[in-house]
Amino acid sequence: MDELEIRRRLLADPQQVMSDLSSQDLQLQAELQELDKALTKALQVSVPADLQNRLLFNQPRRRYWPWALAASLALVSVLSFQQYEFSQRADNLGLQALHHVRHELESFQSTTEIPLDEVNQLLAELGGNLTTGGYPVRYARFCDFEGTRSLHLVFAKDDGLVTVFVVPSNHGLKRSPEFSDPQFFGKSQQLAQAEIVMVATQQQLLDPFAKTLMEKMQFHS
Amino acid sequence: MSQNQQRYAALIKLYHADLYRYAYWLCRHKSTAEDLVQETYLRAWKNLDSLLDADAAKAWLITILRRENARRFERKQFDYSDVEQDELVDHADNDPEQHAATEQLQKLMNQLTIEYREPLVLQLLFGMTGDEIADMLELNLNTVNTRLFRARQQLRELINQQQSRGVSHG
Repeated sequence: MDELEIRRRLLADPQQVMSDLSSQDLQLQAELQELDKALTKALQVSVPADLQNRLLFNQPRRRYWPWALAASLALVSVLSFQQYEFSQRADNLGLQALHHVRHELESFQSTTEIPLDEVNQLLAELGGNLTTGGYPVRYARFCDFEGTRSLHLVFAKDDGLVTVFVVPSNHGLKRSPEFSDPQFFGKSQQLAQAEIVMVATQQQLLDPFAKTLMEKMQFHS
Repeated sequence: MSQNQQRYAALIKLYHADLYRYAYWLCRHKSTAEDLVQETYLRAWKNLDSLLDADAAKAWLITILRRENARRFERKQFDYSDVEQDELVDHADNDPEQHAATEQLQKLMNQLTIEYREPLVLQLLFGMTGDEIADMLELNLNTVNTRLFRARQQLRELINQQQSRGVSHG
């Protein structure tokens, strides 16, 4: 192998093991290995801190607008935002439920149980009632399901959290008995007075949970 | 969590950082790199059943990302001339001198054309061999080796130029 070929090979891959290198070539190899170390470090650009979570929850990148541009585009923005909202509108129950879960991740943070009578005060507004002996509730808040006031609950089952939306039957959205995205599974059960939409990260939680919930949650006819 | 969800979450955890860095060095634009990684994982989720061998996951994701990048160019010719250099250096580097050196190298990397930059990034970031890079870029091994050789040669020349400028300007 001539000197030029040795140089060529070393520059293509400084880590390769080559025998019978001259001291000059060894020096070159050492220099190139140093360069590679510095380059490898330079390639490690910082990764956005929330990228991993956004990938897991399938959320789009936040877009930042320069203020001047934002101001000059204010009117256009208002119009196109409305259009965007319209095009993003999820017209079925499953997509709506997933949308709410992803945008209210704080609903999973609570570790304290909400007393049953407080939950029942909220549930009563939708004509419902929970009896004792079911799973503890850790989050209870009304939310807007495309214009239908619905109750967002999070239940703590022993093996995982289950989100439940109690959506009054006049919701006008397409039903979706089963749905999923990369992170969540869901199913819904139709009752006369309300649709019960359940979401969890583990599919196997849903059936046993639904069975218990249907025994404990009742609605006035 | 279903088996597919577990696999998907593992793919994100294991590879998202290096894929983001690779995407950045492909397009030299932070927010475009983020979009590329996001599109890559969405497509990966849709095609997860076609990934049979866990050992092939990294190459599979890189291939998807390269295709997504190519698609962007098909849709529109992006102008990446406005390269985002601000705060590119990893913040883990606390020594100001090291910090400056790393920043300088990042700028020099960005001066390489994509045909030289990409195989070098694949080699250094993912530890790919010449044969693996050749497969990924659909080139023969000789071409890959020539590009790797020229990439380092150009970088050394650029570094030398800078150093000699530094000396003459004292």
